[in-house]
Amino acid sequence: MLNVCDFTFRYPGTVTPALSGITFDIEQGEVLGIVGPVGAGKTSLCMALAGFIPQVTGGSSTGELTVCGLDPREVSNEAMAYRVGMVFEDYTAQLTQPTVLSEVMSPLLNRGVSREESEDRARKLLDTVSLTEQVDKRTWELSGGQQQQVAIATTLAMDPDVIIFDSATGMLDPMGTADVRTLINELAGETTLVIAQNDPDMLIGLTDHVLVLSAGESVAFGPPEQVLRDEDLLDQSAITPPVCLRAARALDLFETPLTAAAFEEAVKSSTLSEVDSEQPATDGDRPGETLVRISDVTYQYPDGTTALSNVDLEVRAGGVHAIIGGNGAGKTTLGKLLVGLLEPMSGRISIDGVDTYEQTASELARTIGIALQNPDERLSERTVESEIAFPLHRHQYERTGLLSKRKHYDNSYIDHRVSCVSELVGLEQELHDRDPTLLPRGQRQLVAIAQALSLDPSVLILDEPTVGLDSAARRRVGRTISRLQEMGKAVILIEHDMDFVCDVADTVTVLDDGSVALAGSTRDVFTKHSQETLSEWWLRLPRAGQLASRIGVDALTLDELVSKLTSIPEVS
Amino acid sequence: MGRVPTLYHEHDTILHRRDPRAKLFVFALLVAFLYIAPTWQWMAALTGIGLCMALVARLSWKWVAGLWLLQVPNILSITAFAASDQLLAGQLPSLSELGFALNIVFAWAAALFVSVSLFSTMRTNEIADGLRGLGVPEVICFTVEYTFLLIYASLNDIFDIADAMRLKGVEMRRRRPIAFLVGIWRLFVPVVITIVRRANTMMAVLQMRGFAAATRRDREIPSKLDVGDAILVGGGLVLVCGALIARFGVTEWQVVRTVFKAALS
Repeated sequence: MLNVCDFTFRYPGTVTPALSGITFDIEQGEVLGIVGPVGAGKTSLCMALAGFIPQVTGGSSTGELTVCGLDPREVSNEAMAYRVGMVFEDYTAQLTQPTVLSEVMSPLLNRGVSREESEDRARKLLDTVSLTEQVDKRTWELSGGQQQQVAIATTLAMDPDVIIFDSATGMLDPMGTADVRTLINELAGETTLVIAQNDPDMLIGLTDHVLVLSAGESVAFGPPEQVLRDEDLLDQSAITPPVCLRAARALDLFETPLTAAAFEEAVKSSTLSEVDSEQPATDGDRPGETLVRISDVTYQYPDGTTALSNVDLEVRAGGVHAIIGGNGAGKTTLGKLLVGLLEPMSGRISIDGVDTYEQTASELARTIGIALQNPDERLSERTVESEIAFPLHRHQYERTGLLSKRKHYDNSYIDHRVSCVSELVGLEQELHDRDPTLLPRGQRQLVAIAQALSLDPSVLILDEPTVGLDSAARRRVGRTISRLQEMGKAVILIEHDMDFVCDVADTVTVLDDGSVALAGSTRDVFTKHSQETLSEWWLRLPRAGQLASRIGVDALTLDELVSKLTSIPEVS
Repeated sequence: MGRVPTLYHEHDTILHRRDPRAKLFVFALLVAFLYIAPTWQWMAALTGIGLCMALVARLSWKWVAGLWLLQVPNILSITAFAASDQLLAGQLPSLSELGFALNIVFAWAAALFVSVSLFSTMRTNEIADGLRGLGVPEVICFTVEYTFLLIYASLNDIFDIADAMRLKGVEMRRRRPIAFLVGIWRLFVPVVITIVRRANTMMAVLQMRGFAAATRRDREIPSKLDVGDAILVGGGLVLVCGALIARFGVTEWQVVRTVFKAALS
């Protein structure tokens, strides 16, 4: 079904190939996983398989490429139509219709299916992706995760021979991601599937073959049991190995498990046992003063939909508080309320003792900064340095009269702040003269975070900071959060990645349909509720927690799991 | 969510329930009427009908008034120009002397009220389906629908980018017009980058989902015309025929025959 031989591709105007010498064969009904760091060429390869490279992007290619028995470069669009469906990483770019239902119906109508049948099938597909209640919603008004779910449903409506998921689960909540895994398992065998991911854990148990890409080249191709066990290969390709493998390595196990069941077997057959360790100090008891206080806040959208209802929340200095929940639960809306972009209908929000109602968003930026989901929305300057310095220049002077103004700080302070925040977030000095809009996504995200920190706010909100990032960039974000904690700042993290949440967050608020379903320390939220209960709120245990749960150990992170297990010395 | 102003206003009125084909046909009759109407009194009558339609469609009066107020400078300048001779002579012009100006003034108002009343009661896909039902080529129907989507999605992006700019210290307040214009200019780079970044994906998606002209099948639009639609269309035809008779003085039956032949074809 997919036959690629020595395929090489260059984008227009570039010398370095985006893909070089790629070779693999996939039979009908098989599932191919493509893994690699950001910039490895995963999206380019997906676009080539879908027939968009070089037809849509331009550029030149060599080598053999056969999809469904055709070379997409040589046949017309009509010949390729409906053969390959692709779910892109950019969720907004996939909208073609004004409403959710019409979006999913459109490929069916284009094929000549009757209106009644199209609507019936579309509604069933929207049930599959849990969007039953959003059928009449306008597509551009959905959250990012919901837009991605619509894209998945629409691609399924095409009923193609090949479906490609290009980093398609980053914006989905944990249960949404689990739904996609279930869907892939159901489709495998009949439909040929390609799953491109930064995270190799997603590919385990799903794929027949794994292709590892690095800098546009294929560094490995084979069954996942073989490829994903090669830790040297993964390390050299800047890919974090699967969590089971990392746990086994940390625990000095002989086996190299990839699945939770295999890990459990490996632990049982080892000499490891749980040590009696003191429970760590309650994660939520940070001694710092309360910097963020949300009291009984309610917010409605202009169309009357209640986004948030009677929300209470407190965040202390030096604490990291995660806001989690399903797609459309109101997480980003809460973030926008905190920074003054929206005003609550009722209730009160205070940041560092000041009511947000008394200040504009620009004034509030001095006490609370936010790095939004899409870093591109705030990049407007021609260099990284000027981008980070921008808010500092805007706040340098304060108008005190018609013709008078007061200077708060001079340019040397601005230069100093730019250096400090760059170092804080891990942005190299060499990047300062680069155009931020041309940097890879991970670096653009760091520029946005640095800019949000430039005014030295007491609180920082990070809205889905790990989407689209590879493991190296995620570690940088994690280190930044740790440093902010040490500096006594409060961090509010809006995330779907439960692994990342459990690694960095002390306390958690779970939002469900605009209301607080649960709040408390990270440990309490995840360990005192079953997976069934968590799934009602569209959540899941972190992967390390799932492993720990299987072997009866109370742990949420890999470090905790390792620290709680020790090897019983052999008695000679 | 909900901050992008859309043409469609969600209600359940007799105008909302009319078939899109009937409403689009009446819109075509409106355009014809604007050229056919013999005097400003006819235009004033259509303006009154338009206001009634706006009432039935439950339009927001602030919105309609705001759109009408945008025309005020034009209204004043046209009227003043037409009346300039009399005014310079120290006299007030009579209504007949202002006929042409009043014709244009009422034409604008009538066009605004009738068209907004019709289009605000149709969703974008209903407009496209209505055009399909009237036999408009599919490429035009799709272009109309996709253009609306691009406008709304782009406005949503612009609002998001404006929010991000506010966080950077770029406040855009209409009370400070110069700062507002400078702020608008600052949106330019992120808006362009957003659009350019998406362009390839958008093209690929359209191609993949069968929107290319060669692969798209014609869509069947079920016929749901009812008495209400017949009354709406009939009313429009009566108005146009009456204007024709008043303007050209031809016999009633010739006009009716000609217009109905055109409508049926």
